[in-house]
Amino acid sequence: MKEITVHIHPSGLLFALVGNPNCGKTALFNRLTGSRQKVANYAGVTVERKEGQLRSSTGKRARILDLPGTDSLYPRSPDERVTCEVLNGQALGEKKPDVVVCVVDATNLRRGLRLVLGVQRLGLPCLVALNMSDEARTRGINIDAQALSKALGIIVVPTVAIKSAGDAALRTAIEAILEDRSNIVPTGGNTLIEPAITEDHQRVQNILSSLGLDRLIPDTKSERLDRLLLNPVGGPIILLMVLFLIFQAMFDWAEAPMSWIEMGFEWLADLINDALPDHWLRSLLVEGIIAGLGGVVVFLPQILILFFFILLLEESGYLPRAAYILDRMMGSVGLSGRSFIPLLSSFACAIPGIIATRTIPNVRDRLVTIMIAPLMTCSARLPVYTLLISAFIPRHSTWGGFQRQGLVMFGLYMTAILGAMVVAWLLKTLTRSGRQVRPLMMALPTYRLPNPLSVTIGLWHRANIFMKRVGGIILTTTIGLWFLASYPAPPLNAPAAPIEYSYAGMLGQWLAVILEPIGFNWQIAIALIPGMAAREVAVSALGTVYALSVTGDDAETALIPLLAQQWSVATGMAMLAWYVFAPQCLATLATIKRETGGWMMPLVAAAYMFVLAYGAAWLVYRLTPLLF
Amino acid sequence: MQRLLSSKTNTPFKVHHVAFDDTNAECANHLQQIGFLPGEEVVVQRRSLFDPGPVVVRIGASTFALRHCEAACIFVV
Repeated sequence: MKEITVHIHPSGLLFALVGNPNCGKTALFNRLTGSRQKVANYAGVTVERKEGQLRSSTGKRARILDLPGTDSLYPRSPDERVTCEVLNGQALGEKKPDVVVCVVDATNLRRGLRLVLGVQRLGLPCLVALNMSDEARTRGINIDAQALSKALGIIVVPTVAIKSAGDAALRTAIEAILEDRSNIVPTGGNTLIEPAITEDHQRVQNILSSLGLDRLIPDTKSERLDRLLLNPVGGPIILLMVLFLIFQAMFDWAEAPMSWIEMGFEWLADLINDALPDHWLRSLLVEGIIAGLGGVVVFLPQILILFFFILLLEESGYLPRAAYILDRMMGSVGLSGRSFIPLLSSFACAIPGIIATRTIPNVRDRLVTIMIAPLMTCSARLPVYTLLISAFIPRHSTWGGFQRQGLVMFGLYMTAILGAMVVAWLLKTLTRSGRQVRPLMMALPTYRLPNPLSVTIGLWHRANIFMKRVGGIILTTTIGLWFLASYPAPPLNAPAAPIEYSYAGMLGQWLAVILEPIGFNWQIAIALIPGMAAREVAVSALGTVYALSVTGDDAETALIPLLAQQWSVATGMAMLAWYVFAPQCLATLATIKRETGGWMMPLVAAAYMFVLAYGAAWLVYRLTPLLF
Repeated sequence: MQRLLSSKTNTPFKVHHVAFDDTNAECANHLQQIGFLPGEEVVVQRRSLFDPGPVVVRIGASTFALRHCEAACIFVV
């Protein structure tokens, strides 16, 4: 039997947003469709096509596609290929766009116009949105939209995507096309002919000179800031200080909100303990869910503080500069500067980081970046780190005037980065292609003040993701673990805690044999199993395991003092070392499989990370007693 | 005509051509796509303290960080 795939496209005209990287396509898309896709001030934020809907004042619908940014219609990286395939009508499950909206950065007309000419040559009906037209004006770049429209032979509208109603002119143009398609006509040829770089270049020059814009346009504000931030000596020092301050703030600012959350959960546990009889339901609620979830939710403030800073850096345009400062270091281990931003995204979560590698043109570079991205300290490790640091590093102690807890956290992040660099360096020395020089060619965007609204939206989005994990995977594994740790019930008058007779207890004691050399007890062994699903689950699992392990009446509800009492410092430090490297996230491995198209890479990643984790924990477990 | 790399910092020049051979054709092609085309005004804004490090180059209205070997393809007048 033969099968054919039939793609049914939703009704409505299809408008595709196309433009150079970082010209504001996604901001405009959000404005037009009311979506909340991520925007930031660097190239390569959008790597997939996203669809939204615009409804005109007369009730007609248009489908809007947001596409990854590109400099030309000759794709080099997987994300640029997405855009080119859509424009050529080759994208799977998508028709050729009816209208292309070329989004052009008004402060950089030259770069945008070359792409507009390319799109025109494809024969697609198109119009131009001159975005950031307000910023262009304040920088003294006055573009005569009418004259430009005449020169190009297509509609040109000014937009300011970051201002409300900044899309009004574009919206009007789209609505006019929805009312009557004859408001837009195909232009020029109909095929992608030989690269016409020089021909287009000449036309762009002519247009620019007729508009009086054919000169080098300085960006004095950014240049002045760069003089300081990219200074060969001062730049790296400032970068280090910025990172350092973030980690200090994570501990300093989070102290109060964390204690409020802790108090809230304690109050809830007391309430249930008083209201319910000693019954399995009470055990599930107090020892399972409250002990488990409370242990994780308490870290929300720290995660939000970290993201507050990451969002500020993303919005300001500083990130690509950091990549420039670190370029020599990245180059020396065989990575291109383009690996920097995917790796940085991995500090939030390795999954978007691995997806962001689609902006890397070179196949080998992309693979190496994918392989080391899971080593970057993702926010799911934060609860584990903070729990252990709070338990084993005294809060008010300092080293050279700096808070010691913050210093240890900084050290953990640095260890992970160092580990990733060593792995990249090994791959460079072991492979022949690794020794070639890698490309950089990275755009340094204009500095902008972070937009408070988009920072707030970003934080809200983050909190939402975190709470969804708490309510989803963490709740599920917690309940599952509570069951395994509570049944079968212990024999009467059993000398040890009931959990030791349960399924989880038996499994933990069996696993502890393998984990004993690195200092892990059976409680940790139990927590590591559900911790495979997601790293922070280990914290909720420890909460549940210890809540069920208590034999006497003087049960300590908070996990932190309990661990400080029950574990040796060496065990605590060994577990920190384990978590720097351990491949404990099935979702990441699944993403690696999807992005590399096979099981080979995820298996290699899991294996090498496991070996590193075991080795590091073993070493730390042996060395700590010598130091403390 | 001289190499962009040996041109004086913070002094405007015009791109003459982007030179390439079999080993770096892809790199040269991309340089052209991001705007390194004959006649464009270009300024080296800063160099790395250690050679050969990346350079920051302003072309038209964009700023790019280029690796040493990338900038080495560009000739200016």
